[in-house]
Amino acid sequence: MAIQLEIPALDAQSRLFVTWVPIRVRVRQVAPPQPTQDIDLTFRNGGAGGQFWFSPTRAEGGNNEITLTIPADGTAAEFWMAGEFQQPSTVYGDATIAVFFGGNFLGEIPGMVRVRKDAQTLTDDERNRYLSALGTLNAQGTGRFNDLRAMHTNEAVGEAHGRSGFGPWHRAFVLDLERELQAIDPSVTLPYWRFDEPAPNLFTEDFIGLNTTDANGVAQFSPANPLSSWVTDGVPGIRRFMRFNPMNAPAVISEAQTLGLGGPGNDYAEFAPEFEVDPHGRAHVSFSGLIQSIHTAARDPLFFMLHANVDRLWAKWQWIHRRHNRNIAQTYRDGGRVGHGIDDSMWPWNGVTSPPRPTSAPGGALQSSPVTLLPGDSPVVAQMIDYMNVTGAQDLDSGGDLGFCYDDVPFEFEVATS
Amino acid sequence: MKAKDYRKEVEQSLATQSNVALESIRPTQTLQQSIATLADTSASEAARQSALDHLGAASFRHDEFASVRAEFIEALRSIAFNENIGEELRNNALSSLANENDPETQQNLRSVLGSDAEGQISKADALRLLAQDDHANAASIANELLGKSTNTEERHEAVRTLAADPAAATKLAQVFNDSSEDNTVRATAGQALRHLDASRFANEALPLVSNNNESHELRATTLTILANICDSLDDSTRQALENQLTDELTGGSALVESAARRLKECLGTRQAQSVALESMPRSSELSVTRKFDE
Repeated sequence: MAIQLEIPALDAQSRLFVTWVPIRVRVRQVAPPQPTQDIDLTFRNGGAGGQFWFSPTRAEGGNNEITLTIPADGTAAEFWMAGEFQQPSTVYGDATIAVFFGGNFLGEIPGMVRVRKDAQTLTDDERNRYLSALGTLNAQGTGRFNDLRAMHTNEAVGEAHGRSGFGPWHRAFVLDLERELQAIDPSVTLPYWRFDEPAPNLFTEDFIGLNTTDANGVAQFSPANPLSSWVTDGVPGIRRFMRFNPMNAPAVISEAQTLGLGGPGNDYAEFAPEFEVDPHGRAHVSFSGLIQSIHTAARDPLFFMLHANVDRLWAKWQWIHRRHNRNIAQTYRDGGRVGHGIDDSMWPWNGVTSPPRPTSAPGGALQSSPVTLLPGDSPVVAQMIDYMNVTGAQDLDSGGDLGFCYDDVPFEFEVATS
Repeated sequence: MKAKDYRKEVEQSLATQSNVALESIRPTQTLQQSIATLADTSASEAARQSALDHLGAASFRHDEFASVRAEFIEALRSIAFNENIGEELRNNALSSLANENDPETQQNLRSVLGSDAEGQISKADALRLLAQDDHANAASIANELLGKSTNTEERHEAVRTLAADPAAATKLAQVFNDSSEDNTVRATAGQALRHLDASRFANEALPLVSNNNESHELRATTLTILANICDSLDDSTRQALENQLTDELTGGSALVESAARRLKECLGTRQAQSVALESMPRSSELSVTRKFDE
């Protein structure tokens, strides 16, 4: 007997990474030896950390195990699986699929329920893996981080700010960075800085850095912190001064207030302009330093954790108000400029350098992911909106989703048409 | 937890939270009024800082902000070097102008650096802010400062700035190896040297990391720099490092041990991955394949 599992969420080294979004697994008997009979296999959640669920159909949740009859003729039986909401992994291999045949253990497939988490809650090991990947990406100012830094400047401001595309553009931007980190260490996700709550574990010398006494000074790191040798634009160090006590949150509107933006119709057209100023802009200017201005903000690695939270808040707003369906007007409104229309491609990943786009397009294509084919090299605005494919509008065999989730935003179906 | 149960939980939580109405915490001033407050010398420091925060946050709406941007910059200039204004507001304005590579601000920073008088802004701060702009030609000022200043902060800032000067490698190597220099200055010199000449940095770093007479902090920082760039190290350097990364290297320091461990992991990444795959407890009867391979 030989059994083959066809899984869409494996990386090139056959490591399994899933989020809250269900994936389809096909199972078949393969030669040699020739199959002679149908067999029943049981797939069971077996990890001590991250948890999987299984279902015969694409669902919002499922059971701890599933039993399938695998035909003898080699055709595939299928099931769906995902990470159990609020039961993510902390390390690769702490989630497993145990496979049984006739009650006998046949084998085990290690994996990871990989989602973005609150930076305040990371284990030391999660934090260190993230920082290590970030340090490698920067590579003392010579790494791929340079491209990401060059995408967010005054020259590119019209692509990313001030219009509807603010949300989608930054979603693609942080996804690009996260995929770069995962190319270095696939067990890493981009943590978010929940800026409406105290984050004393984040603002330390072992994580994102502490203030000096000098308001114009650079953030202080412990010598073994990979960020201690951070270089951008040829200059070592990260000029940053927190203007709030890390035991408190900065002066931004709360998450509950943010989820209430958008007016009585919960309309993105009303949500986005307010959201971009507060909490987003307010979080940026709660510091003195590089991060307070568009042109320099992306030199500071904290920028990406701030924007992971901005993206999470949009994601949570989308979820609570059911705003993933592009056919509902309140989900997204065209922004009156190329790059902000729902079917527009986004700079710089599209490589377009003719007006009104900037004159150069740093970085090339968006980093690909081994666990999904989406959004491809050159993302369009619409692809960023239904990032978990909750409407089912995306081709399920192409991965269907963008390969990321937040720890507090579940997968919940939304109708595909209005 | 099921998504629908979680939805109920979140909706109940949102409904029961006694949210402060947004209107009560939103700025009541228009952008124009906030600029007037920011520039108003009779307004309180708190009111002016609040206006600056409002304007700074609003500036991310770039197109909407365009009509007041010039006035905003003027207001910031009136604050940044004004001795009568409190430090937080002044530094915040100065930081914002430096980020915009404002030419008037850069001229003022050069004046601070060229003056012998004590000012409200230190020379180290002035150089740091000026050097943010790679077109500001700060390297010559940094060279001069490094040649004459004995102030640790100023020397530190000078070597940081020289990371952008291709002609500074030899000088940076000297500072990195000079045991009479402050260790934070040496560490930054190492970073700067690495930025300019990776192989030269690696050559200078090898004897330093195994020298137990050097400070633990400097050795840890140097190991961290090597770990960040280990993918780009040539084979002979990688081999030399692997030979040196013995237990004796740490000299009993947890800090050095932690940095050495990360470098070891980085040097051994490929090998570790293959071991992990081979150790999977999977029967030969079970195989997995990627959907996207087909």
